[in-house]
Amino acid sequence: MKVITNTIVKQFIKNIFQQKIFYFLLGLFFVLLLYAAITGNSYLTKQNAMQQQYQELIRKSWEANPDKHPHRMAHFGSFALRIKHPLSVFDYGIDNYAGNAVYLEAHKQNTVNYSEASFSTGMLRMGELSIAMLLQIILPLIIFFLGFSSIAADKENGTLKIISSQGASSFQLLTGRTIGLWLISSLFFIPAFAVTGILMLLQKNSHINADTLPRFLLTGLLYSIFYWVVAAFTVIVSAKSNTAKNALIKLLGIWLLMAIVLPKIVQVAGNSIYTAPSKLSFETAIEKDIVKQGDSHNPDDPFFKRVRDSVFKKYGVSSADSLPVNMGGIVGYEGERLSSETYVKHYNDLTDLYRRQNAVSKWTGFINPFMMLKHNSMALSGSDFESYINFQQQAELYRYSLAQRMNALQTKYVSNAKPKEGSHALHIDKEYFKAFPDFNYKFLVMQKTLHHETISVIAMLFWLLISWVALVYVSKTFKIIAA
Amino acid sequence: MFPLFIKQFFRNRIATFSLLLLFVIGIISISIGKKFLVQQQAAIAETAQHQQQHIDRLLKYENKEFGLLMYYLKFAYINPTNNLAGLAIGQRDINSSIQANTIRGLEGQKYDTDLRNPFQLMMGNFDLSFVILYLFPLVIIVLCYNLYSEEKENGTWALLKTQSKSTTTYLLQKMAVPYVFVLTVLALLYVTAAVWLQIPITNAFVNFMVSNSLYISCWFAIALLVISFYKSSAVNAVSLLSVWLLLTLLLPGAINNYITQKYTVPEALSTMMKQRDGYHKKWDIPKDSTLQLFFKEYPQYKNYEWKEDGFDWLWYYAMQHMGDADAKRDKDLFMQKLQQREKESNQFSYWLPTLYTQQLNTQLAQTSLQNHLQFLDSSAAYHQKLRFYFYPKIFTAAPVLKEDWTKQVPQYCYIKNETGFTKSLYPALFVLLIAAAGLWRLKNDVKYK
Repeated sequence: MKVITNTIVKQFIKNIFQQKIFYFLLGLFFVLLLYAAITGNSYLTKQNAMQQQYQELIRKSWEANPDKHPHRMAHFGSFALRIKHPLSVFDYGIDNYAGNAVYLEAHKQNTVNYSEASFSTGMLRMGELSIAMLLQIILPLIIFFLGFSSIAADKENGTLKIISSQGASSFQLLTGRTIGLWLISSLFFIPAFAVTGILMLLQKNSHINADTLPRFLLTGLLYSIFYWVVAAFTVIVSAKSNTAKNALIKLLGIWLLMAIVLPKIVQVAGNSIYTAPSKLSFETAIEKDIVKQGDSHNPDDPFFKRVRDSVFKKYGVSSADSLPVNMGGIVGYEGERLSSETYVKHYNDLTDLYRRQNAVSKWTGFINPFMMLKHNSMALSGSDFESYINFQQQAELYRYSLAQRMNALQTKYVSNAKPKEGSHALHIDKEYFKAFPDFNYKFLVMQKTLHHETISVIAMLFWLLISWVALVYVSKTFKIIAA
Repeated sequence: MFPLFIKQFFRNRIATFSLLLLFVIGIISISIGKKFLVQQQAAIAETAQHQQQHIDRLLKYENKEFGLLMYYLKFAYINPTNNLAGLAIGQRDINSSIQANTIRGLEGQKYDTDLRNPFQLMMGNFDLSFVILYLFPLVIIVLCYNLYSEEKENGTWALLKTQSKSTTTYLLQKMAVPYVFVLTVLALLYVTAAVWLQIPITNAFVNFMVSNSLYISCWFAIALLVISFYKSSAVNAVSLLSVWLLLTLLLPGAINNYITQKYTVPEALSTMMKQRDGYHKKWDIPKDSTLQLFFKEYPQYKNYEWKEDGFDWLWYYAMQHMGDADAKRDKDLFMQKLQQREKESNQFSYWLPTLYTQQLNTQLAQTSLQNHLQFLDSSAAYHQKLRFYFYPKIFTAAPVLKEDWTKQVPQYCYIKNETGFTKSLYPALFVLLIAAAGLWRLKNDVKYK
């Protein structure tokens, strides 16, 4: 039985190798692959080098500050620049639509600005050429081109009967052709992964860590499964069609629907179901909540009055002048804590809303394998929504700890007494500032990535199962003699 | 002959279905545009209302020092959305149409983005421009790929060759039917959009209709050219789809990659950093040196009083302004870089009807990068106007409550649309060249003459 399947596989591959169109498609694919790899890598290296260089300059500028009041340093603040994941050379994901730099200062959470998209003329919206894009959009189409006639043509010219008379069952025929088509597709995708691997190894100051290899290998597995599914359904459609031409038209229709039209429509639907607030409503809601808890503009605000009273009580004094600690530092600390907690609460709500919008698209991974692939692929490449949220969270955490560190320094080292005009009595040693660590962005660990992508990972296994079930089912109903 | 073609055309269920589908999808895209416009208008209304409340709230507590109030007070500046933007949302979802800036350093404020779901931004907008650019061509391909080959494959072609005077005329007449019906669908969508989105019949809208109709015609010309090779249905379908793939995805993607890696924008980061350092590090140097720089730029404020000891508002706003001044060179380079990107994209677009139409649509709808850059410039001018108005009041510590704050309502930026009619006629060049090549081939293909 195995021998027969082997023969079918070999015969199919031999047949493909005889077609001129195969070499044409392979050549074209490699040209596109190299172009995408070279330009993508050039962009990633330049961008990361630039971000790193500026992160260092920012640090230098921070450390160059002279002795001063710590609250001045809290306002001087810092910047967090986003570094791209080394695997994003493979799949750009949402990277170009995500901000690249955020200003971190006391009391204020700024937006992450300077996304590639904001510098783009709109051409970006027409599509980006990445290795992943070629593998997700173009290669399935090539598989369709090479496989549409895999069964239908034999049906038309009667060779099916010959194969059958040699003792092959329908199941052997279908799986054999699927394996053959899948092997052919590996001639395209294995080089693509080889190129990705080489590029990552060649990247200077690359940010490869212990997670990168497993991510890379899983990506390879993911795509292998996807092409197996594509090959199986190509063969099934071919078997179910009367003529090769019909099979081709059906496959092209499926491709258009699943690769081009549906993903966009589904996302639009997600946005319509869950409407996101405008920036102004988001900010106003936060402001309202903060004012409710304690309004720093109001000198008689009960919250800040309570803070002051509790400090007086703790140190057994009746006025700020006789306190051993700095009152402004304590009030600043409490104010920052309050406003940051409120901000984070609203920010998490907004992020969850975005997640719900995106989940609509993720769930369609069960009816559209292209969507399953897209979500899994960018998650593994560290260029998905969650990777970006992870950056934002780390940036906010750093901002918060910077502001609070400065408040703590003020509380401890700055006197309450009003100094003489022009004196530097309120300044503290610059070494305290230097001791505050630099922003150190860490990529999301793979375990968390997979956790966020549970739906898409299950969808992947689902498709593997479905392709097998479909092959079994179709081979039972498929009659070789019907031709 | 024509009634016969029409009958034949509609006997094909796929033809009727795809035209209907196209119309429905077009309507959906217009509804998405409508939703976008409503959201934009709501955001503008919200901004106006909020500004009033914002001023009132601040005036309640911060009414003693003009300088301190101005530290907090935000002034909204709006780039209004043209209704045509509902048909080509362009970059308006990425670049914010509303700014709310204080009179402090502008470079630290004006690049702030809206809050958006980045995954949504990546998936893009489903506007009419997308439907025209991507989906109309696909329907055209479905309607035209087998115009000739179905006759050949059904065996009617041989008969036709003997019966009709010219097979070229026959094919052209046959193609005229889908052409007319596709244009009809497009026209119906224009009318629906005009009524539903209340788009006035301006030059921009006329240009939009003309250029997009020409773009559609371009695809019929491409179909004609492919047919003129007299290949089988399968070959035609694959070739047309490949052309579609090349024009809508691969070539624009390739050009985009080239431009983004050629023009990385470190100037954005240097502007950001220089503005911060320019302002904050002024706290560490003598007041006089900052003020001399400020007076050099604005001699009109030289005679205002400022105090050497302690805090002083004139000094504070001078420091704020010097942050912008220190970042100016980098900001200019930053903007030049973006202009270079825009210029180079436009040059490439002259070779690709897809890219050209996409660029033109966003220019007409004022949703392009260019429009946003103009908005940024205009916002800087508004910022200066506000500063010049409030500086004397801050520097003289004018009484806050004497000021008529009701005058401070959001201001609008009006950018003139300068896209000329010739620009919208340019795609005709593609149509003529490609159609001519197709016709020449049809007539001269020896094998089938």
